[in-house]
Amino acid sequence: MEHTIKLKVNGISYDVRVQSKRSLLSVLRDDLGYIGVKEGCGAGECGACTIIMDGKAINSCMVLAVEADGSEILTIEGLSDGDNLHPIQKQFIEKGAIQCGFCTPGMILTTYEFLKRNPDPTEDEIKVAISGNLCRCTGYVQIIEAITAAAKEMKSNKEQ
Amino acid sequence: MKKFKYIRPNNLKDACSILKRENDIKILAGGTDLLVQIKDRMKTPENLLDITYLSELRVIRNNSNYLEIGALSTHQDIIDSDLVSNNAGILQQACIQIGSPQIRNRGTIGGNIINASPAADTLPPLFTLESELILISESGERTVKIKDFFQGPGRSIIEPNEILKSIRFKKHSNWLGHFKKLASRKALAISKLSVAGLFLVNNGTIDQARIAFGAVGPTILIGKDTVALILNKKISSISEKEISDAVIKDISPISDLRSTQEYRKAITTILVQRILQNLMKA
Ligand SMILES: Cc1cc2nc3c(=O)[nH]c(=O)nc-3n(C[C@H](O)[C@H](O)[C@H](O)COP(=O)(O)OP(=O)(O)OC[C@H]3O[C@@H](n4cnc5c(N)ncnc54)[C@H](O)[C@@H]3O)c2cc1C
Ligand code: FES
Ligand code: FES
Repeated sequence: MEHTIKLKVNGISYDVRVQSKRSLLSVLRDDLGYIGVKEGCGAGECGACTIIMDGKAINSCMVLAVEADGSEILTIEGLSDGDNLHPIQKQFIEKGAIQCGFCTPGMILTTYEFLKRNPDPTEDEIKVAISGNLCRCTGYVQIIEAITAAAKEMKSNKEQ
Repeated sequence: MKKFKYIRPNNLKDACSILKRENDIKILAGGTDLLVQIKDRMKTPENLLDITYLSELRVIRNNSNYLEIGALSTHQDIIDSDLVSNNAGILQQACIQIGSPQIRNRGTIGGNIINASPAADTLPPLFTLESELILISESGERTVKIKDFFQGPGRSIIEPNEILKSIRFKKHSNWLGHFKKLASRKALAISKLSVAGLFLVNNGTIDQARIAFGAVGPTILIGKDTVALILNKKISSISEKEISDAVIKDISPISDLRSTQEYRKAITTILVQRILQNLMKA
């Protein structure tokens, strides 16, 4: 069965025809071209497909596109301010927290939601926050450093 | 994935009449269990009823002596709720340990209950809270005690035309609760076993106790012998051997791909001991 759904992705509104069985992940990637959304496990285990939907970090592989009808979505493509990278993106590059980059969009979006709720996290809180995002290359140390540095930068940007 | 028809009801009443009308229909909440089962073709419903937008089912409220949690409350909603932390902290301890942040943002307490896995983490705490489940259908509401609800792995007495509306239990503000789970790692891992213990302690003596075990039987098991052993005793006077004997009488674990029977028995005993040690510190 087909449905027409409305999505707002990174501020742009779309009407898309989708079959009810399609995942939000596949519609974002294959129909709308947001290929920063990655498919790893397809089962909620790796976090590569993480997006922000109505303010919450979720696994887009575990949501039907029809379920997302009417929602607002942020993908990695919408995080920078034009050519100015978001502090989280900058610090991931700065600290060497990216190798192959497959986990990076999900890792960064998870961090984005987390730092909104907890702008001044401890290392243990960071570890819990990214526990749903697997990285097979970097080894987490650099990722945690990048998140710590991003939190500091975002805080000082706010204070200015 | 097999094709299905997706239906989004306008309100709870509408949802109930669709459930009555359609055969072969499944309720979709957070989808973190059901969509995996549909993908793997373990379930192949013709129709999916998406109830996620029924906001009336996502309320956590104070009802004189009771706390009532809407079935669509996500694990994260429960973690964020002051009402729950003041009156049922043990439930929060379980929700914090579920899956990952992404799963907790989407997965609901109602889905965790109805999926009826013996390893579902909210169940042992809900048993110790002596929860009641409120089910609604076109013909009205009924209330069922959680201890009478489950029939086996994946099975409960809910009828195909019923929706779990909410969960309610008495406030337990002075009780001390502990939930411990053992899994192969901290995040994203199904419990090999879990223990919930809820106690009223007075000067080091256990005045009231409720214990429930997860993943060591076909459904959640109540720790009758363990409770009988510790009730009205000074915590410091109970020996490890006594605890171990009582726990082994209470549980009937199996060996499966996640763990063996012997290991489950040994570790369950240790978790109960740790909970009692924590109580002594409190
Ligand atoms: C990666 C991963 C990790 C996980 N980790 C854990 C964990 O650590 N601990 C744990 O306990 N679980 C875990 N789970 C399982 C799952 O996330 C939880 O059981 C969750 O609470 C299910 O809720 P849901 O809203 O997603 O349910 P759904 O998948 O939407 O539904 C589950 C079942 O309940 C029925 N249902 C849902 N709501 C209602 C209702 N209101 N009335 C009637 N029927 C209803 C559905 O028809 C379906 O049969 C994990 C799952 C994944 C994918
Ligand atoms: S692809 Fe969605 S969690 Fe792995
Ligand atoms: S950088 Fe390769 S998976 Fe994380």
